[in-house]
Amino acid sequence: MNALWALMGLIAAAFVGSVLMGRRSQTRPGLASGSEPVLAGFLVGPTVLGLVNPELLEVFTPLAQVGLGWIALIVGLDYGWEGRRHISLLRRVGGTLAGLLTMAVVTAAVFALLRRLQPTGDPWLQDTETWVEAAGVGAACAETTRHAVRWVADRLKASGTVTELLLDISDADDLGPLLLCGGIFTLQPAAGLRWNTHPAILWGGQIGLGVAIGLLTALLVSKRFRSRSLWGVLFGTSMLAIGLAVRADLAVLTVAFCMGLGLSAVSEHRQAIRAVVLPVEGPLRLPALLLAGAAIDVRQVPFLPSVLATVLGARLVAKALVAGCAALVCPPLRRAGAPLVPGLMACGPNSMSIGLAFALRFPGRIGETVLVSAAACTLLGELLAPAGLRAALRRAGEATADSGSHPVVEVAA
Amino acid sequence: VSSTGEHRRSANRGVELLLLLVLVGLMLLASHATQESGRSHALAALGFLLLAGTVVATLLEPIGIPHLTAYLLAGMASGPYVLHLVDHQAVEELSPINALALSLISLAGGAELRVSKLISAARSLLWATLIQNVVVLIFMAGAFLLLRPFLPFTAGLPLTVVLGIALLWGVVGITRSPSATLGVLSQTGAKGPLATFTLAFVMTSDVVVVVVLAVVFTVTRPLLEPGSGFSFRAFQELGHEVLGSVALGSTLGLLLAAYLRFVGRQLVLVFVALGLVMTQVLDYLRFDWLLIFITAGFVVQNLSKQGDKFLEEIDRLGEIVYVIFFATAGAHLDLPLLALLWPAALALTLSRAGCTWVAARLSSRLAEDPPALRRWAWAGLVSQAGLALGIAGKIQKEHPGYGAGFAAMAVATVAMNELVGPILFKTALDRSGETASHDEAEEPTPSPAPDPAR
Repeated sequence: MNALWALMGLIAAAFVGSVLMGRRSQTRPGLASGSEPVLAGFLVGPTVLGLVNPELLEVFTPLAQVGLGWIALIVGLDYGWEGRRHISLLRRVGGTLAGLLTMAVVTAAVFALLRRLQPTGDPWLQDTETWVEAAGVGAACAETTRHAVRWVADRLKASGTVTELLLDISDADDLGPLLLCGGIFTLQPAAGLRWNTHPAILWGGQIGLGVAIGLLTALLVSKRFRSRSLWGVLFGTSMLAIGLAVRADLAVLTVAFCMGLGLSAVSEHRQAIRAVVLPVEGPLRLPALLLAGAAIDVRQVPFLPSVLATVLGARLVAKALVAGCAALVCPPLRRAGAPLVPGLMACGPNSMSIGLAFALRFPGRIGETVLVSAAACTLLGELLAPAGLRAALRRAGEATADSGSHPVVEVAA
Repeated sequence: VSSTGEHRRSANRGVELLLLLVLVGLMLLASHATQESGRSHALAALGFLLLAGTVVATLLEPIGIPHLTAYLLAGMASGPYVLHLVDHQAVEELSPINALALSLISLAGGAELRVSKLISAARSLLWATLIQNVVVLIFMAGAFLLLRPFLPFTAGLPLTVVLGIALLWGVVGITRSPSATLGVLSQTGAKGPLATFTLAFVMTSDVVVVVVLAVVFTVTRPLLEPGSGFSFRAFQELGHEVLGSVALGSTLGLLLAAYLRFVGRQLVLVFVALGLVMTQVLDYLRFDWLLIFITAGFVVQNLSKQGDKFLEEIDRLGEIVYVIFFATAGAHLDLPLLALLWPAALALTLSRAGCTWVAARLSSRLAEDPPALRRWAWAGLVSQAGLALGIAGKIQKEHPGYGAGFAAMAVATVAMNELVGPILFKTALDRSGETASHDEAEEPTPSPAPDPAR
């Protein structure tokens, strides 16, 4: 496929994304996680039709980095908010712990498996390559996507404590994986950096860089706040953050996410910024997911069945633990019962973004293992989560509509 | 109140200066901490140029420097020859973004040309087109011949060849800069006879220059290549390029109008598709995509009811587009070359400004223009940019012997005109009272909108 055609395809995908996003306040058609483009990308990618080859994907690497950066920026800007409702600190901590617990369980399982299947001879604590691979898979498979929770809640016209809790957990569980991505990236020396720095300092540097650029943006926006200037400033600072991360081989996701957090925390124009930035999510997400799907090359993943079985099994166990702990801490969640476990299995755009980020930073076995694992979790989540969430919300008595086939309420109109 | 306001403005400027220093510090740190080669620096460069251009423009605004000039200065300072915050590779990698910016500027330029305004300014335009192009071309060719001893690339060439090169220099002299004109008008929000005349003249002169270039190429071929006869090949190419481009532009304009009428959303993506993809295809097919986009904009404005909506959408991107385009152009300026050629370049620049002034006075008198136009019509015609460099590049390609020196001199003079032109035009608009007041030009702070994604 020619690069120009591929670019046209991405622009068309962005257009479709904007149309779908425009419908989001009603019933968004398609899959719950919104991950259809992953499938489309996978079909045209090297594993199936082979229309998109690695050389062509390399041409689009800067575009992919920009897409990933903006998705993370939006998640950071929106973090801790559900529409106009501020999520309480306790729930944010709970959601973050849920994400970290899932990540830890999946990482441990994958690490144990990889040590067994691909012994490196290094002591387990110094086996950085295996740690990067396992932790990458853990980060990519940690989330419960808010898109799926909203999708089901919208269709069932659900409202109440359980719905709210699920929305809050799924929003807050992004923090851990997105921050830790930066830490995992530093475990292997960055070719873009001239200085040898301790990984912890480098990780802190990424977070600091993101927050600093977020604060810089807030200052620039507050000095000359006009809607036209706002776009220029946001575009400029985001490109600077993403560009510096790319230049130094750092995690674009971590830097951009922290930028969003910093900006959201201090800017007095936070709501206006969100109003400008959030509509961009659709046009960005679709091409990014398409690229992520096209980058999947299962041939590069050794021991694929064992890896996938371990990842999916560990994720199921982790989500069962999360559901159990959540039910212990929040009694209302007990009303949702066992269906909560498959309900929490939903994952999608953020997982695929982490997968793509790893595939770009660690081309070959490590990157592909993370990306394929993210895609497998997305697929399994698509099979289990909508039914699980529906059953959970019905059991909790919060679903007021029987079927999801009709347009429903606007979540935050 | 006035004193408090002044204090606040000074404090704001202080903070902006500090932010600029922080940005420069970040880029310096990045260039010291990261490897020079192997990684793309374009994204960081793009972000930095956009921010630095915006902040420098705000800082220089109180002393009357137009935003465009500030963007250029920011680009020059951060470019490969001064602070080296943006390197050559990054500047090259940003060229697709420049094509996107230029396509938007061309669309906006075409859409700003309303038939009613063209008709009202027809007399002035006709006289100016005739006098400006003939007088400037001939006088600039003469100035080139006079300055021959200071132009090293003409040394040892027969007089006939130098005469041919001088005529080609004359063609470079009659090029103007639609991007600079639109950029200044966008910043100042100017409305009036001077703004209308300058915009209409500069936009139509793009087509005129293409035609004149073909004529001069045909006439000078026997001079430049002794032994070769007259060839109408240039006219064949001209027919293909101009007529084909106008036809394609009209079709594109109608399609855009239909899109605006029946779909009307996500125009940014349409602009991206036009600027990044269509420009490549049209280049490959050897059509003039600038002319295509100007025609398309003109068709949308004058053959449909979508013109205002179209301009509004482009205007939303204006601030980003102009900063990127001019800051990148500034970073691209070959300053060592300018330092080497500046005496001759300055003489040619001053000659061109003088010729433009004389021609403007003459054409204004013949067209019986209003006083503001008589006095200031020349000021908007000094800026030069991409078209001049494009012509110089074409000459360099066709005549490699002296073409390199010719192109270098063109770069040096365009750099001077690019820096001074916007200042002259903005001053003229301010003095003729056509600049919108600051309050009018500034948008009000939008109130927080409802969350659209939910």
